[in-house]
Amino acid sequence: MTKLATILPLLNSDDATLRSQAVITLGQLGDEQAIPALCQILLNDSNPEVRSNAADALGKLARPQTAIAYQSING
Amino acid sequence: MAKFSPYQEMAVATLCQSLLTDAEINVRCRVAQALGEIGNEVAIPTLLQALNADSSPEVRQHVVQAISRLFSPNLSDRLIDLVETHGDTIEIIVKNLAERANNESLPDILNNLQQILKNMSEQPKVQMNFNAPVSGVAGNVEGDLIVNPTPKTLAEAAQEIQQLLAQLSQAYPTNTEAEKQIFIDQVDTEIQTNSRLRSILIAGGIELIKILCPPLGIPIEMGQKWLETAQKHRT
Repeated sequence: MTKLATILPLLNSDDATLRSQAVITLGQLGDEQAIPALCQILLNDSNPEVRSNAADALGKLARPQTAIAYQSING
Repeated sequence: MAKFSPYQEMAVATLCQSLLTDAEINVRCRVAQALGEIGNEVAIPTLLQALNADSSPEVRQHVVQAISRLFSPNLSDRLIDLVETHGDTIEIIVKNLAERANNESLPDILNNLQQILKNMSEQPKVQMNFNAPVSGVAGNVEGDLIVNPTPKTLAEAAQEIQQLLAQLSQAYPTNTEAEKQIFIDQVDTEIQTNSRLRSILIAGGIELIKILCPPLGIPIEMGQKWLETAQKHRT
């Protein structure tokens, strides 16, 4: 089971603190495949703190450094 | 400019949507910050739109910082055009920041913005042709767009003045009737000294006043006074 697959289900938790932690962790993992899930959170989560953390995580994952890494892996 | 993966394009598009729609100031601030960090110039039209429309000074401050990180001398033609239509707005921001430049992070932003303005004034004003409809902050443009420094429509005129009023209302809040009167007098003083403001007000007339006053909670009759001042000091 990948790290991503372990964390993604936590985004559906009823506990906003847990969702926030999951979002922060996704930002730190650096796997851009988390982006679609984070986009959903940013637009739809009812908790502003969770949405703010999703914005931060998206900012981290979509930086050019991450893009260059992505291109070197995918040609 | 770095190439962006489809995932990353998706992140920027979603952040842009959130910047314009999220109800929470804190969220919008962090969204603006994220867009600045990502550095994808695709976000510039949305950031300019937020700069004109967002009601929170805090969000606008973050938007200014994001914009100053995204602007580079290598902007595409279409973006240069967008910047030119917002040149006056950017100039107001530069002036406003210069007046409060005691914050350590401000000089960099100022330098960036001043560089943009300098580049803009060095670039020849050209007529730009668009082969397809262009959707941007100033509305939808079809066919030929001629770069013109004066506002062409009432909406553009309103947008330009609203920016100035927003700056003034930061210094002079309009919560009580007494405060509103002080604000109205301040705008009046500004009209007496600012010829561009006068010419836009005279061109827009009472219709422009009707757009400007309601959001500020100022009666239209009070706004009419501004129009009279503009006409009185007409040069």
